[in-house]
Amino acid sequence: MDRESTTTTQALLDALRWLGYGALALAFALSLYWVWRTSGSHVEKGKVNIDFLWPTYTPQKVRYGEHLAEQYMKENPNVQVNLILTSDPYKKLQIMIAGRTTPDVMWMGIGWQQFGDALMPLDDLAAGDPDIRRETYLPGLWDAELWQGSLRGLPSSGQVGVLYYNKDLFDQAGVPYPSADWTWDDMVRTAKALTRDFDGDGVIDQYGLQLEQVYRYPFVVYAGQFADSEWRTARIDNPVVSAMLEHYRDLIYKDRVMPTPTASAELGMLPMFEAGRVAMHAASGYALESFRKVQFDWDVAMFPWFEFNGQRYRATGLWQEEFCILWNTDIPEEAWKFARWCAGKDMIRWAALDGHIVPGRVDVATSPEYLAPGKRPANMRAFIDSQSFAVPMTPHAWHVRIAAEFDPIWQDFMQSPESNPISAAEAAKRFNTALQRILDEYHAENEPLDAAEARP
Amino acid sequence: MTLNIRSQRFREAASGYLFILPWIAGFLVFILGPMLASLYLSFCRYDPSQVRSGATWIGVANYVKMLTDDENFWPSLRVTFRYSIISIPVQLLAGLTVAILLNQKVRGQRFYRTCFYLPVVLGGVATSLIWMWLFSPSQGLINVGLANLYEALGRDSHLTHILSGSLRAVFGSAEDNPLLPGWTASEEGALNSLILMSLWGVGGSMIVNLAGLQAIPTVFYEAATIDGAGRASRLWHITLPLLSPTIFFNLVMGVIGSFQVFTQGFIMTGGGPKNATRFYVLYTYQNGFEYFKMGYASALAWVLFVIVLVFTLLIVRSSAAWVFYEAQKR
Amino acid sequence: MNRHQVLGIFERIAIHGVLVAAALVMLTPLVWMISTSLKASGHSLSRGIEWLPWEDIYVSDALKTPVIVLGARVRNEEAGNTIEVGIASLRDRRRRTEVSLPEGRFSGEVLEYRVRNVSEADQTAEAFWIPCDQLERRIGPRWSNYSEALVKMRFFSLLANTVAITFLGTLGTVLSCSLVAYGFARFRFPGRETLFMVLLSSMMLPPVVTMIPVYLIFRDLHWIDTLLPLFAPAWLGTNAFNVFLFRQFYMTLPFDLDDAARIDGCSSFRIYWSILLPLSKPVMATVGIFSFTGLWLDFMGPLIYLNSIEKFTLSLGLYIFKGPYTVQWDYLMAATLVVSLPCIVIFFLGQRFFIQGTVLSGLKA
Repeated sequence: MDRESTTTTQALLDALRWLGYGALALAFALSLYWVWRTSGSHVEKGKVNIDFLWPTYTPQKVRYGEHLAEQYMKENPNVQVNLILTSDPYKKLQIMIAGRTTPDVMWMGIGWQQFGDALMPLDDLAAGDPDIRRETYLPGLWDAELWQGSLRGLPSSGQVGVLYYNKDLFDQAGVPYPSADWTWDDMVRTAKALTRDFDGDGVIDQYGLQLEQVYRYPFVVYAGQFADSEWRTARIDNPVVSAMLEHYRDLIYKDRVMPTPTASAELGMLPMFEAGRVAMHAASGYALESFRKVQFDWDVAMFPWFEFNGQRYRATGLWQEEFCILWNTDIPEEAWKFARWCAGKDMIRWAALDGHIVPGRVDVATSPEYLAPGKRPANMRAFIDSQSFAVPMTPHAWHVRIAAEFDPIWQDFMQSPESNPISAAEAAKRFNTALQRILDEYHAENEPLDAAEARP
Repeated sequence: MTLNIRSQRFREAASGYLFILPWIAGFLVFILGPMLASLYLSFCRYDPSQVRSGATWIGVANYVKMLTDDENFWPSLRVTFRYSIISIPVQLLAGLTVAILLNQKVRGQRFYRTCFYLPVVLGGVATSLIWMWLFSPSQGLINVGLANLYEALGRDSHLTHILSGSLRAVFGSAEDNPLLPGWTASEEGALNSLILMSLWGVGGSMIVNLAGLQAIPTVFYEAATIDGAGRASRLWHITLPLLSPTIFFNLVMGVIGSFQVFTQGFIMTGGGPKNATRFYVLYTYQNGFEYFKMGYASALAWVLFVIVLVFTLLIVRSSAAWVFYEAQKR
Repeated sequence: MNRHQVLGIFERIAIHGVLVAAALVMLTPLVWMISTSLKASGHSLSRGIEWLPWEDIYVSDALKTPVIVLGARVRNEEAGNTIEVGIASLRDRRRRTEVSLPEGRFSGEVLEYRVRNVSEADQTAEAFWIPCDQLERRIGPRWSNYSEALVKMRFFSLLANTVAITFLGTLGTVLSCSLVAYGFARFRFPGRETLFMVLLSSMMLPPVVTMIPVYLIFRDLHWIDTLLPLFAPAWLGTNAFNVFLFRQFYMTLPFDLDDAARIDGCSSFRIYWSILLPLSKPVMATVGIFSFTGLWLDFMGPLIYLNSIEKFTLSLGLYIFKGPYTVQWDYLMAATLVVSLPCIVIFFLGQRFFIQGTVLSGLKA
């Protein structure tokens, strides 16, 4: 290569290198510009700013939150609703509380009681409001919003556990659909007819029944609650609970109609039902959105009656979603107005008809447009009728810990007979002891304060 | 003359401080404060879900409780130790082997390297879901594959028994099938399954090793080959000693990382079955963010800090004997 | 061919065998992700393991409509009767097939299939019977899963944030960590070893317990709900892992380099910039790849510091398909694949710098 071309190549390389540096600088400048552009605050001066925390569990859920914010701002031009979205609302809230940057209003769902002390009591505000009273909501829902005796949230959705069932599988097996008044034995008989091992390899391919993990507790407490109404004394250790536990375990190892806890934990239960591999599936209203996309025909039914010693028992879990106001908000009145509007008839009606929630308001839940036929599930009433025997699920601040301590006991109990599991009575006793210990510790550490003293 | 050396020393030290200044600033602003804050909190009762109260000083009560009145402390520490003892050497060896293999001139080298790095990149929620499906005892890919294999070999054949027996010895037994391993669903196999799973992340230490291998001047190999050194001898006398700074790096990071293992236990097994994968840091997390005992969680974290610090110091002290730095020759 | 060459060939075959097997194992999760991302929702968990996204088509006259097969009417040739069975009882979609029922297995001939239209709008569509030969089975990948997932997660609005954070963070990490490591590796100063242990120890406390205090710092800086907390600290060499990695690499370089340069009158900074950095391309690539991947996929930081959806990163966006109880498998897998793609590209490009002997050629130059 002669010298001239070498210099030309060199010059070209240099030019390329400088071009590279230029591009890098440009990218740097652009990125900084972007950071600067996105650093602007949402707070609008001269307007009421409401920080509103909302979960991003599904695309639909995000739309629900955005609709609330936009619609409210349209109706109230002096208000700016700042939507704070997160995939993990409780963790986010915890960090925000620690940083004293709490939102004003937020969505709450299962386990809201762990933040019970951070939520503003709404009793005084509700007292002057004809719409916010016990009768507005489905039975049981109002009580589920109480924390240490005062109202802490305005319910939007009341989710009770029901049995979803795959009608196509029922048709193929030629068994009747569940009735509103069926019993545990009916359920087991039906489930047996629906449990199949198609290829004969000893592994069951289609199960008759599965219960979402959380439902094991309503079944444990079929006879009532975990503890007394004050949550000071554990009430699990009794013969009904033992019998219930025994029947529950039999579903897996004796009746053989239900997957083992590990088998069903593996893949998630919704996909199993959606894939047509389970005929009956106990879950609450949250499953509706997902199931509405499946191709087979399905419906819902109420949980069965459990008969023991000539008595009939029935219970289901109740979870609710609600709008809560954080106690250290600077704008309690504006926050209340917004929360009340979100939980009001118009927005609940919109959310229910748009498929976001199972409405907790009686007026919406029983309206003909909501119960309209031709939509799945046909028996929407099961959600409403089940509320009369629904039990709020573990309404205790330390419910995560309760679940964590129950877990090993549950695993000791839920084993095949060959591995010598503990007896049902022993399990009930251990659950009781564990719960009592936690309740005692909680009360030793957290004596409830008067509202006046507790106000931050 | 002495003055000159002194001023030279001084200038060298000044430059040194100047270069590490960004880190000193960053450490003071973003790291030291939070560390001290958590140290303080470890002597407090602090519930981060309460709007009305802050931290209350309770002295060493958290540390006392941990050692005397916490039935989960020792088991979770044991789980973490078991994980670390197995996973650190396994990871180290795997990372080294893969890197040395892929440092050779094989056709498709880049493709293979990318394959090994891929699982590191496919992060996020989806991966853990995929893993749960792979490990699922009754419907997962691995066990369905094994079942087919046993079928092909014959259920009662000698080979099937050896294979299935050894797999089940390490990874537990499946509930509803006597031949298949139970993986993350079995108490005995869960921890080992997570260790096996962590091997899919070997791409990380692979590229560290690859970068380290590039620093070994090729002249050494050429000289050794001329001297008639075989492959094993070159590996032992050139590659490993010259790679020792990188191996040291991987070892220290392995200790720091594996004692803090958390994610798999949190997402995949939730600490179960029967607390078999309730790692120490998982237990710390549960205390802080689920049971709202941030003070206690801080105390747990500081105990772990001391443990990891001791191990790291031991390794650093020992390194003088086995790590060879070109830059130390001065 | 001599003995050596034969051995060489065997060896090469053995190496490739091992590598191919390992690569297959490594690729399994990816392949399953691709397969799931192309299936219709609800098909991701069909009975058994299906690697390909199959689809049933009802062929009538000129129309081809996708259908869901519910069941079939089968003639049991041994018993001579005709019965109705669920689709799961059939071994495959062939005309003569094996049928498994609780009562036993038999081989039968499919006469008719019971199907329903695939149509999301019409949930209550009635099932109907079609003759056996009007059902076709074909591979029908749902490419629309990709576009739908990207729209639902607002991909492009999140992309800009993620790119900005990753670019600035990676640049800051590579520059600051190499600079700090240079200080630790090539200069003697009092307290060096202690400070280095302090650097290492900053990685030893589980981040769980420092999360809240760190949040307080960024709150006081008014950086909450901005992109700053996610990349700005990286400019101060706070990533101890990468400082350590750079330091280990610098320690392997002979001091003759520095001394020679110093005699030529180079300043310390000049030695770092013009001699050590160009020599440390492999480790720069490594740190770059790690830092890129880490920032691109970071979930915890954005979860804590970002509030508004228009500031979200892609990793937060992925969670829109996974709630606490529901997973939209098809969308989640499609979106994850797209989100991971830049990381794969960066790794593929970064590998260019893993070339043995760079150090040597650097020395000669």
